[in-house]
Amino acid sequence: MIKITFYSVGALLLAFLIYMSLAPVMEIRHTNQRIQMDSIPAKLLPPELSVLNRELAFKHALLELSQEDSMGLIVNLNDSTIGISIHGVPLYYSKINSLSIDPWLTTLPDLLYLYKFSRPVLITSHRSTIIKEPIVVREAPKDPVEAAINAYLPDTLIQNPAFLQFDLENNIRVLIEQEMTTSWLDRKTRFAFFNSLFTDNIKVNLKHFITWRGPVYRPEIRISLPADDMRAIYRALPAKTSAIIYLNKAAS
Amino acid sequence: MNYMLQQIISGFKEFLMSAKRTNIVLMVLIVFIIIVVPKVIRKASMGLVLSPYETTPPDSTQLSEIKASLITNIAKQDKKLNAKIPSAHYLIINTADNEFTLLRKNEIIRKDKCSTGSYILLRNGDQQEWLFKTPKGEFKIRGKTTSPVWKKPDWAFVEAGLPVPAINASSRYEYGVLGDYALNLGHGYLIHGTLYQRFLGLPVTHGCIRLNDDNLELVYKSLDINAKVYIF
Repeated sequence: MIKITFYSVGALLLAFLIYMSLAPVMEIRHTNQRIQMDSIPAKLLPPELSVLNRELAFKHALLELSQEDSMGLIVNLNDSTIGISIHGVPLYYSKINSLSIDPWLTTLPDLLYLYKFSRPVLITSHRSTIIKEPIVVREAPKDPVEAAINAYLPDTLIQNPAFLQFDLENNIRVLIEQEMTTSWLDRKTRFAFFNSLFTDNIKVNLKHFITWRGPVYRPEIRISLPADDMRAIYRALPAKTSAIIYLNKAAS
Repeated sequence: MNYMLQQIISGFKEFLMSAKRTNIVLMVLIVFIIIVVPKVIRKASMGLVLSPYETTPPDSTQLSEIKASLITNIAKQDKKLNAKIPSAHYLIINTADNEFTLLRKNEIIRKDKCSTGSYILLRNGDQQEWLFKTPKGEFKIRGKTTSPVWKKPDWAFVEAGLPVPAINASSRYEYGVLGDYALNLGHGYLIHGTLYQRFLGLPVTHGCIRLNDDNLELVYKSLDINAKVYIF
């Protein structure tokens, strides 16, 4: 009886793992179907000119982003920089300390890459361990004496460890984490942040597995930045904003 | 010693012959399958689904033509992007780091500390509240003043625990607190000087941008009316 249970669980686990392993393939197929629906020209792009094609797509996306009224996020994996701009004027750039790109993205053929990345994409949702607006509430003093006692001295805000998640309209996830220190709080926050991502992913896919639906896959880009730069970028971005990602094959 | 070694070897032989061995080998095999098989399936299926995208290279003449066209297009886009950057002086304010950068095209003229909004929400009972933050976005210089006079708004009195005077009361006017110059960004926000130079680099203002005397003079003289100020 125990053996039967053990083998059944093992078989189910194997089936689930195979199901999950097919998730990147399903994502390619979904993207492919969308391209066909939009009638992109059948002529495929020569791989020798991949670098130039991708660069042109990036410039085109930058120009399109400059037409928008709000600040946009620019992730240039080629130069290892991340920054913000408004109306085509670059405002701030930070050098990426370390970078991890999902192999799904690095093996993407040019046709699919151009479909996904040749225009700015909306950030559909985001999650963060830091506050966007660090508002401090103060009650008005009753008289000048109380005002003098409570005279404002700049607080040194306690800054939480910084971890950001941006989910883009084109089904890409950008994860930005601060440079790690030996602080226990940093490590604990990091564990909690990435653990919740992992468990959410498993939960969604388990649900789809049980209900005979296709697996969900979101290719990830993981970036490490200095914490102060992360805060500057995150606080600059409005609630609804667009992002551009540039990944040239030479960079991957 | 020899006897002990013999005992160990015979014990090991016995273990290998026992049913436990079969179970251990089976478990190792299962773990191997669980780890390796999904990876193999993923790799094989990715190869299959991406194979239609493999192309035969075009001939060299066609390739050169396409390449030249791409290079020309990239140069055109670069030119358009470069035209977006103001050719006159403009200012970028970083409210997170409390820094300003004065630029002309791509050249940094000066980069130094400033002070921006404190993000304090001042509450006056349930009636009124003011949030002291510097707005973000693209702005223009709408006006420039020398020796500006500060007309204190209601919050300045509420914050000091004083009764709020009439709109045009003389107590509303303060001289010399805004420095030698002020640049108007609209909606009540200014770039001006400060008496509290030691707080530069910190978020201490009520929304305005404070610079030290030297930087203020440079910014005042560099930025014309309608010059762009970008705040993030």
